[in-house]
Amino acid sequence: MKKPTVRRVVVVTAVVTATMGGGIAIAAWTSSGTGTAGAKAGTAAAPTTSTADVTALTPLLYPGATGPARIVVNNPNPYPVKVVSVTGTGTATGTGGIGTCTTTGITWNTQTPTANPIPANGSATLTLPTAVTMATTVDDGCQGATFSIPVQVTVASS
Amino acid sequence: MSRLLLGAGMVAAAWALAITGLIFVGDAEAGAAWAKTGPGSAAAKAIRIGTPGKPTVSSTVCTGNGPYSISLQWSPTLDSPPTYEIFAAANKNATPVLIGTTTEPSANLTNVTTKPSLVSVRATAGTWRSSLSLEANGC
Repeated sequence: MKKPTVRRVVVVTAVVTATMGGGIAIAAWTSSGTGTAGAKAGTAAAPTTSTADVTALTPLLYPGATGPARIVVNNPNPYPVKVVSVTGTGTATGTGGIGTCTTTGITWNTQTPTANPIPANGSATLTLPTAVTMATTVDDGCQGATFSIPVQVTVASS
Repeated sequence: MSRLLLGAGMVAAAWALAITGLIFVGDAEAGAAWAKTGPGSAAAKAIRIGTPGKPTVSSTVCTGNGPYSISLQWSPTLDSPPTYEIFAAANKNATPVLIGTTTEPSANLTNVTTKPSLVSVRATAGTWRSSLSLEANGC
Protein backbone atom coordinates (compact mmCIF):
# COMPACT_ATOMS: atom_id res chain seq x y z
CA MET A 1 0.00 0.00 0.00
CA LYS A 2 2.91 2.40 0.67
CA LYS A 3 4.63 2.15 -2.72
CA PRO A 4 1.63 3.12 -4.92
CA THR A 5 0.90 6.14 -2.68
CA VAL A 6 4.43 7.50 -3.03
CA ARG A 7 4.32 7.03 -6.80
CA ARG A 8 1.03 8.90 -6.99
CA VAL A 9 2.47 11.79 -5.00
CA VAL A 10 5.48 11.99 -7.29
CA VAL A 11 3.36 11.94 -10.45
CA VAL A 12 0.89 14.53 -9.19
CA THR A 13 3.69 16.81 -8.02
CA ALA A 14 5.40 16.61 -11.42
CA VAL A 15 2.21 17.43 -13.30
CA VAL A 16 1.37 20.35 -11.03
CA THR A 17 4.89 21.74 -11.20
CA ALA A 18 5.03 21.53 -15.00
CA THR A 19 1.63 23.11 -15.47
CA MET A 20 2.27 25.88 -12.98
CA GLY A 21 5.58 26.59 -14.66
CA GLY A 22 3.79 27.15 -17.95
CA GLY A 23 1.22 29.34 -16.29
CA ILE A 24 3.83 31.51 -14.65
CA ALA A 25 5.75 31.87 -17.90
CA ILE A 26 2.67 33.05 -19.80
CA ALA A 27 1.71 35.41 -17.01
CA ALA A 28 5.14 37.06 -17.07
CA TRP A 29 5.04 37.54 -20.87
CA THR A 30 1.57 39.08 -20.62
CA SER A 31 2.79 41.68 -18.17
CA SER A 32 5.65 42.69 -20.49
CA GLY A 33 3.29 43.09 -23.49
CA THR A 34 1.03 45.42 -21.58
CA GLY A 35 3.86 47.76 -20.65
CA THR A 36 5.16 48.06 -24.21
CA ALA A 37 1.73 48.93 -25.61
CA GLY A 38 1.37 51.81 -23.18
CA ALA A 39 4.72 53.34 -24.17
CA LYS A 40 3.89 53.27 -27.91
CA ALA A 41 0.59 55.06 -27.49
CA GLY A 42 2.20 57.78 -25.45
CA THR A 43 4.86 58.80 -27.99
CA ALA A 44 2.98 58.51 -31.32
CA ALA A 45 3.80 61.36 -33.72
CA ALA A 46 2.00 62.42 -36.90
CA PRO A 47 3.52 61.47 -40.27
CA THR A 48 4.94 64.08 -42.63
CA THR A 49 5.52 64.09 -46.38
CA SER A 50 8.37 65.12 -48.68
CA THR A 51 8.34 66.18 -52.32
CA ALA A 52 7.91 63.18 -54.58
CA ASP A 53 9.79 62.84 -57.87
CA VAL A 54 7.27 62.37 -60.69
CA THR A 55 9.72 62.67 -63.57
CA ALA A 56 9.19 59.07 -64.65
CA LEU A 57 5.62 58.68 -63.41
CA THR A 58 3.34 57.03 -65.97
CA PRO A 59 0.72 57.05 -67.32
CA LEU A 60 0.47 60.82 -67.47
CA LEU A 61 -2.74 62.71 -66.79
CA TYR A 62 -4.93 64.31 -69.45
CA PRO A 63 -8.51 65.64 -69.51
CA GLY A 64 -10.99 62.94 -68.54
CA ALA A 65 -8.35 60.48 -67.35
CA THR A 66 -7.72 58.88 -63.98
CA GLY A 67 -4.06 58.30 -63.22
CA PRO A 68 -1.37 57.87 -60.63
CA ALA A 69 0.04 60.12 -57.94
CA ARG A 70 3.15 59.69 -55.86
CA ILE A 71 3.77 60.56 -52.22
CA VAL A 72 6.75 60.25 -49.88
CA VAL A 73 5.62 59.51 -46.32
CA ASN A 74 8.01 59.99 -43.41
CA ASN A 75 7.56 58.11 -40.15
CA PRO A 76 8.99 60.11 -37.20
CA ASN A 77 8.25 57.32 -34.74
CA PRO A 78 10.77 54.81 -33.45
CA TYR A 79 8.40 52.04 -34.53
CA PRO A 80 7.36 50.76 -37.94
CA VAL A 81 3.99 51.99 -39.21
CA LYS A 82 1.83 51.42 -42.25
CA VAL A 83 -0.15 53.91 -44.33
CA VAL A 84 -3.85 53.18 -43.98
CA SER A 85 -5.39 56.11 -45.87
CA VAL A 86 -4.58 59.17 -47.95
CA THR A 87 -7.38 61.69 -48.43
CA GLY A 88 -7.52 64.92 -50.40
CA THR A 89 -7.86 68.15 -48.44
CA GLY A 90 -7.72 71.02 -50.92
CA THR A 91 -7.17 72.38 -54.40
CA ALA A 92 -4.25 71.14 -56.44
CA THR A 93 -1.77 73.60 -57.90
CA GLY A 94 0.08 73.13 -61.17
CA THR A 95 3.52 74.39 -62.18
CA GLY A 96 5.80 73.91 -65.15
CA GLY A 97 3.05 73.65 -67.78
CA ILE A 98 3.06 75.16 -71.24
CA GLY A 99 0.95 78.14 -70.14
CA THR A 100 -1.54 79.36 -67.57
CA CYS A 101 -2.60 76.52 -65.29
CA THR A 102 -5.12 77.95 -62.86
CA THR A 103 -7.92 75.44 -63.26
CA THR A 104 -6.18 72.14 -62.76
CA GLY A 105 -9.34 70.03 -62.76
CA ILE A 106 -7.61 67.62 -60.37
CA THR A 107 -9.67 65.67 -57.84
CA TRP A 108 -8.17 63.27 -55.31
CA ASN A 109 -9.68 59.81 -54.98
CA THR A 110 -9.35 58.57 -51.38
CA GLN A 111 -6.74 55.85 -51.15
CA THR A 112 -6.61 52.99 -48.65
CA PRO A 113 -3.32 51.22 -49.33
CA THR A 114 -3.11 47.66 -48.08
CA ALA A 115 0.59 46.94 -47.72
CA ASN A 116 2.85 49.95 -47.26
CA PRO A 117 5.20 49.41 -44.35
CA ILE A 118 7.42 52.29 -43.29
CA PRO A 119 10.36 51.42 -41.04
CA ALA A 120 11.00 53.16 -37.76
CA ASN A 121 12.26 56.72 -38.39
CA GLY A 122 12.18 55.92 -42.10
CA SER A 123 10.38 56.91 -45.28
CA ALA A 124 8.49 55.19 -48.06
CA THR A 125 7.51 56.33 -51.55
CA LEU A 126 4.00 55.29 -52.50
CA THR A 127 2.77 55.27 -56.09
CA LEU A 128 -1.02 55.21 -56.01
CA PRO A 129 -2.27 54.11 -59.47
CA THR A 130 -5.77 55.63 -59.40
CA ALA A 131 -5.32 58.50 -56.98
CA VAL A 132 -6.22 61.45 -59.21
CA THR A 133 -8.76 62.29 -61.89
CA MET A 134 -8.39 65.24 -64.27
CA ALA A 135 -11.61 66.95 -65.34
CA THR A 136 -12.17 68.04 -68.93
CA THR A 137 -12.35 71.64 -67.69
CA VAL A 138 -8.59 71.75 -67.07
CA ASP A 139 -6.68 74.65 -68.60
CA ASP A 140 -4.80 73.85 -71.82
CA GLY A 141 -1.77 75.49 -70.19
CA CYS A 142 -1.59 72.59 -67.72
CA GLN A 143 -0.05 70.36 -70.39
CA GLY A 144 3.24 69.08 -69.02
CA ALA A 145 2.56 70.53 -65.55
CA THR A 146 3.46 68.92 -62.25
CA PHE A 147 0.70 69.07 -59.67
CA SER A 148 0.94 69.38 -55.92
CA ILE A 149 -2.15 67.99 -54.23
CA PRO A 150 -2.86 68.68 -50.52
CA VAL A 151 -3.62 65.48 -48.64
CA GLN A 152 -3.95 64.02 -45.18
CA VAL A 153 -2.01 60.86 -44.46
CA THR A 154 -3.08 58.45 -41.75
CA VAL A 155 -0.65 55.85 -40.46
CA ALA A 156 -1.16 53.09 -37.94
CA SER A 157 1.26 51.05 -35.87
CA SER A 158 2.13 47.82 -37.60
CA MET B 1 -7.27 10.14 -2.26
CA SER B 2 -7.12 13.56 -0.67
CA ARG B 3 -3.69 14.10 -2.23
CA LEU B 4 -5.09 13.31 -5.61
CA LEU B 5 -7.82 15.85 -5.10
CA LEU B 6 -5.26 18.42 -3.99
CA GLY B 7 -3.19 17.75 -7.12
CA ALA B 8 -6.20 18.09 -9.38
CA GLY B 9 -7.07 21.36 -7.71
CA MET B 10 -3.61 22.76 -8.30
CA VAL B 11 -3.72 21.75 -11.96
CA ALA B 12 -7.04 23.55 -12.35
CA ALA B 13 -5.60 26.65 -10.65
CA ALA B 14 -2.61 26.65 -13.00
CA TRP B 15 -4.83 26.54 -16.11
CA ALA B 16 -7.04 29.30 -14.75
CA LEU B 17 -3.94 31.46 -14.36
CA ALA B 18 -2.81 30.67 -17.91
CA ILE B 19 -6.20 31.57 -19.39
CA THR B 20 -6.24 34.84 -17.46
CA GLY B 21 -2.82 35.59 -18.90
CA LEU B 22 -4.02 35.03 -22.46
CA ILE B 23 -6.96 37.39 -21.94
CA PHE B 24 -4.46 39.97 -20.67
CA VAL B 25 -2.41 39.57 -23.86
CA GLY B 26 -5.47 40.31 -25.97
CA ASP B 27 -6.07 43.53 -24.03
CA ALA B 28 -2.46 44.59 -24.43
CA GLU B 29 -2.49 44.13 -28.19
CA ALA B 30 -5.74 46.04 -28.59
CA GLY B 31 -4.28 48.91 -26.60
CA ALA B 32 -1.10 48.97 -28.72
CA ALA B 33 -2.87 49.76 -32.02
CA TRP B 34 -2.99 53.49 -32.78
CA ALA B 35 -3.47 55.71 -35.80
CA LYS B 36 -2.08 59.17 -36.42
CA THR B 37 -2.94 61.66 -39.18
CA GLY B 38 -0.79 64.42 -40.59
CA PRO B 39 -1.00 66.93 -43.46
CA GLY B 40 1.14 66.68 -46.57
CA SER B 41 1.11 66.74 -50.33
CA ALA B 42 1.15 64.25 -53.18
CA ALA B 43 2.36 64.85 -56.72
CA ALA B 44 1.10 63.98 -60.19
CA LYS B 45 2.02 64.96 -63.73
CA ALA B 46 0.15 65.83 -66.92
CA ILE B 47 1.03 64.89 -70.45
CA ARG B 48 2.53 67.45 -72.83
CA ILE B 49 0.92 67.06 -76.23
CA GLY B 50 3.55 67.67 -78.85
CA THR B 51 3.07 67.86 -82.61
CA PRO B 52 4.07 64.62 -84.36
CA GLY B 53 6.68 64.67 -87.07
CA LYS B 54 5.84 64.78 -90.79
CA PRO B 55 4.50 61.33 -91.80
CA THR B 56 6.40 59.02 -94.12
CA VAL B 57 4.14 57.21 -96.59
CA SER B 58 5.32 53.67 -97.30
CA SER B 59 2.58 52.41 -99.63
CA THR B 60 -0.65 53.50 -101.26
CA VAL B 61 -3.52 52.15 -103.36
CA CYS B 62 -4.93 55.10 -105.29
CA THR B 63 -6.91 53.57 -108.19
CA GLY B 64 -10.09 55.18 -109.57
CA ASN B 65 -12.51 56.81 -107.22
CA GLY B 66 -11.61 54.59 -104.30
CA PRO B 67 -11.78 53.16 -101.82
CA TYR B 68 -8.12 53.97 -101.20
CA SER B 69 -5.46 52.48 -98.95
CA ILE B 70 -2.43 54.07 -97.35
CA SER B 71 0.31 53.00 -94.94
CA LEU B 72 2.27 55.65 -93.09
CA GLN B 73 4.38 56.26 -90.01
CA TRP B 74 5.72 59.25 -88.11
CA SER B 75 8.03 60.12 -85.26
CA PRO B 76 6.19 59.97 -81.91
CA THR B 77 5.86 62.91 -79.59
CA LEU B 78 7.99 63.06 -76.43
CA ASP B 79 5.13 62.08 -74.09
CA SER B 80 3.37 59.21 -75.83
CA PRO B 81 -0.26 60.29 -76.21
CA PRO B 82 -3.13 57.83 -75.92
CA THR B 83 -4.26 58.49 -79.50
CA TYR B 84 -3.08 59.80 -82.87
CA GLU B 85 -5.52 61.02 -85.52
CA ILE B 86 -4.76 60.73 -89.26
CA PHE B 87 -6.15 63.29 -91.69
CA ALA B 88 -6.36 63.30 -95.49
CA ALA B 89 -7.00 66.07 -97.99
CA ALA B 90 -7.81 65.52 -101.65
CA ASN B 91 -5.85 68.66 -102.65
CA LYS B 92 -4.01 71.67 -101.22
CA ASN B 93 -7.15 73.72 -100.75
CA ALA B 94 -9.35 71.02 -99.26
CA THR B 95 -10.09 70.82 -95.54
CA PRO B 96 -8.35 67.77 -94.02
CA VAL B 97 -10.76 64.98 -93.13
CA LEU B 98 -10.25 62.46 -90.32
CA ILE B 99 -9.63 59.05 -91.89
CA GLY B 100 -8.41 57.01 -88.91
CA THR B 101 -7.10 56.81 -85.35
CA THR B 102 -4.36 54.72 -83.77
CA THR B 103 -2.47 54.33 -80.51
CA GLU B 104 0.84 53.71 -82.32
CA PRO B 105 2.97 56.13 -84.38
CA SER B 106 2.00 54.28 -87.54
CA ALA B 107 -1.15 53.27 -89.42
CA ASN B 108 -2.26 50.96 -92.21
CA LEU B 109 -5.60 52.30 -93.45
CA THR B 110 -7.87 50.63 -96.00
CA ASN B 111 -11.29 51.51 -97.39
CA VAL B 112 -10.47 55.21 -97.19
CA THR B 113 -13.16 57.18 -99.05
CA THR B 114 -11.35 60.52 -99.15
CA LYS B 115 -8.49 60.42 -101.63
CA PRO B 116 -5.37 60.79 -99.42
CA SER B 117 -3.44 63.08 -101.73
CA LEU B 118 -2.02 64.86 -98.68
CA VAL B 119 -1.86 63.27 -95.23
CA SER B 120 -1.06 64.65 -91.79
CA VAL B 121 -1.39 63.51 -88.18
CA ARG B 122 -1.95 65.01 -84.75
CA ALA B 123 -1.75 63.76 -81.16
CA THR B 124 -4.77 63.79 -78.85
CA ALA B 125 -5.32 63.16 -75.16
CA GLY B 126 -8.86 63.75 -74.01
CA THR B 127 -9.79 67.25 -75.08
CA TRP B 128 -6.15 68.23 -75.61
CA ARG B 129 -5.04 68.22 -79.24
CA SER B 130 -1.77 69.06 -80.90
CA SER B 131 -1.42 71.01 -84.12
CA LEU B 132 -1.51 69.05 -87.36
CA SER B 133 1.85 67.81 -88.51
CA LEU B 134 3.40 68.88 -91.78
CA GLU B 135 1.63 67.27 -94.74
CA ALA B 136 3.11 64.37 -96.67
CA ASN B 137 2.23 63.37 -100.24
CA GLY B 138 0.03 60.29 -100.49
CA CYS B 139 -1.85 59.52 -103.70
